[in-house]
Amino acid sequence: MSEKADAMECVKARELFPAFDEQKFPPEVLGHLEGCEECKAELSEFRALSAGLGSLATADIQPPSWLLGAITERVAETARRRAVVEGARRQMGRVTTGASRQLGEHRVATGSALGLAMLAGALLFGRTRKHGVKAAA
Amino acid sequence: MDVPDSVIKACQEGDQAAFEELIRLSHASVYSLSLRIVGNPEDAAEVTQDVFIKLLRVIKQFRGEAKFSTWLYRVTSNVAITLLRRRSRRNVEVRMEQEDWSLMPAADSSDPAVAAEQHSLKARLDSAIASLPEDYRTVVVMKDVYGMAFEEIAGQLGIQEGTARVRLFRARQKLRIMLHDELAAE
Ligand SMILES: [Zn+2]
Repeated sequence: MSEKADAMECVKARELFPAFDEQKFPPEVLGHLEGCEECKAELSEFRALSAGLGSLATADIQPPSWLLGAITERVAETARRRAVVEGARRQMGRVTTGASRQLGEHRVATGSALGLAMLAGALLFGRTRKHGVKAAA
Repeated sequence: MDVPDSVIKACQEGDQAAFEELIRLSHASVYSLSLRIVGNPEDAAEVTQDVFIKLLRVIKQFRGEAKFSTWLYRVTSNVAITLLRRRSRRNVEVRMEQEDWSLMPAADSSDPAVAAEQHSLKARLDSAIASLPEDYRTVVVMKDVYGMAFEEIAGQLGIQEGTARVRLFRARQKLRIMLHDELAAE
């Protein structure tokens, strides 16, 4: 076979290597690989690359030493804030239902919605202040 | 990353001590994926913290259909890609600063173990990945390192699957050329 034909076959074969899929190599490429040391060597580099990349998933990179503490602190702070907000929501839910019942009994009609909102607001404010967390939380 | 099912379940029930255990067991893996995607330690640390804040909210959504690590990696890559988008919108160039990598020991180290690590293929691979353009890096990390599906990768990056395949192909070619000496010696 002429050198030029060899070069063409090498180009054709090497185009397939980065796909990492030797199952799909056509017979002529497999045939070429048997006789071409350069292509064989390049293919084995891609094989080593594939294996090396796959092995990185379990090779952790050491995080900076301060990171664990920083995450734990931020998570705890977020959890605390969330608990306060959720607690306030629950409290407000109870107040609203309780007040509705009462108002219903006393047959108060107009202006009740505003009164209810103010009552709920006052209780919510009191509760969040007690926990020492800003209302924005 | 090896997080027992009992810890995950306790986290889902709101157990704070279990959540701290989860952080302890998985933060290095989350940081590693974050660093491999964003390419610099400062942003990787930010992504890692954000992942666990997000996890507080979404851990209940983990139903055990996939492995927990697979699910957590998906959450992590999502947060990391969001940060990359935010960065590129602000037009800040994100560069890899190899000297900051904790993985990279000092060049003049006299400790043979450290020296071996420095020259190990894994360490060289990580530094070669970090030097890839962002478009190539994200795809090769998600696909070849973490084994994510093209559909998942394309979806997270907001690109066509065909585009993801082309980027992956080019990334592998570049890595092969960069690591020629190490790979030939394998
Ligand atoms: Zn050849």
